[in-house]
Amino acid sequence: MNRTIANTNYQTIEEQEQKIRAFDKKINEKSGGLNRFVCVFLALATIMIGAVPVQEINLKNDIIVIIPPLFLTLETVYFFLLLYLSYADAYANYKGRRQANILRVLKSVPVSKKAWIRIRLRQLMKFYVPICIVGTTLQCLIAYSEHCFSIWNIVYGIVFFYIYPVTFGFLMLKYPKLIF
Amino acid sequence: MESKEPILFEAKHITSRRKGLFQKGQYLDDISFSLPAGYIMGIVGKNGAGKTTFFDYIIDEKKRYRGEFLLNGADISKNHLSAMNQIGFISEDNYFFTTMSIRKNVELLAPFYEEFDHKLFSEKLSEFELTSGKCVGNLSRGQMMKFQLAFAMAHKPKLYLLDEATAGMDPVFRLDFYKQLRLLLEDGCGVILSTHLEEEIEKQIDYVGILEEGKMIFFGENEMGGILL
Repeated sequence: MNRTIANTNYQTIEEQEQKIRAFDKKINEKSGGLNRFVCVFLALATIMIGAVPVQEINLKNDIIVIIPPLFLTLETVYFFLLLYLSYADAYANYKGRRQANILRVLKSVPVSKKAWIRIRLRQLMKFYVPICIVGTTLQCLIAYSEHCFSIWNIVYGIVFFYIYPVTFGFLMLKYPKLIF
Repeated sequence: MESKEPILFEAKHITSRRKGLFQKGQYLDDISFSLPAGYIMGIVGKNGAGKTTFFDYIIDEKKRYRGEFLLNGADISKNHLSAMNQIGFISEDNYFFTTMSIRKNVELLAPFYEEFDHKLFSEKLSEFELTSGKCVGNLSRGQMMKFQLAFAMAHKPKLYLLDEATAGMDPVFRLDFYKQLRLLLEDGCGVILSTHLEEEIEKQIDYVGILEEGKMIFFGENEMGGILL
């Protein structure tokens, strides 16, 4: 029983990540499907609204047009990460609080929080790559059809459909107390 | 009770300051002590003295203090994953999924440990008269502590941290709880617990540290007793 830290096998990053993925699968058995549906639905709505060519948005008059897609994007990220930050079980045979902060539960467990955040961020990026491609393409196509296509359509697409949600996701993971 | 045992755990000049505009002063002020393997140390202090903060600093991955916690000579903050494999944390706060059964909690959390012994866990559950199908949120306080002790024992830590774990326990189980801890000490483990209970301080604790407003005003062998079981 005489173990020391020095001779304990260190878990590699890959091993940690595998364990976290296995944990995700088990914990999201029940509520994962519904949450993903909400995320995809919100993402599709974001693509539709975000496809309006940037040249057509007059910041002085149409500022109100920008707010819904911005809010929708935040909602998508929130629901996407909620799955990994909080566990709620409506069917549990327990009368008290039905929600648990996953990070809090994992506090005393040997899990690298850095690896945990890295995996979540990678999952978020993976989710937003196709949205960014579709959204930006749509934005460019509509601008092209209206003869107003410029490099700004690509920049807008990348910032709106990728950089903005991923940055918010990173902040949400890094400072969950600010969001919850 | 001069110990010839190797030092298991050491706190070296642990200091932390409050952050924020309206929070001035210190959480913990230059706390230093060392605990040899095979002994129980009790941290005693009023509410708000810094007992839970002290435990929090040990288990938290993010280093929010100055100084060092050494477990078997290695800095915990630099070897956090490895250290958490060797620390069993038992707390009055619930660090489990309360809406899930004991079985499901173990299924989720055990894979993170390098040496989780499922057989030992089942044995301990039966010994403590608990069933794995029971929802963690429906466990009584005593049962919760039993479950946490079984869980901690199953991953074979070297250091047990007990944050107010024995408060509210019935006296019969408390004695039994300490018997279990004494058995663990024979394997070279160590225990640090926080307590308010005078009887515990008199009878069960080998080393005492008294915390007052974040300062350890006394650390030393328990002159009142220890190892009396």
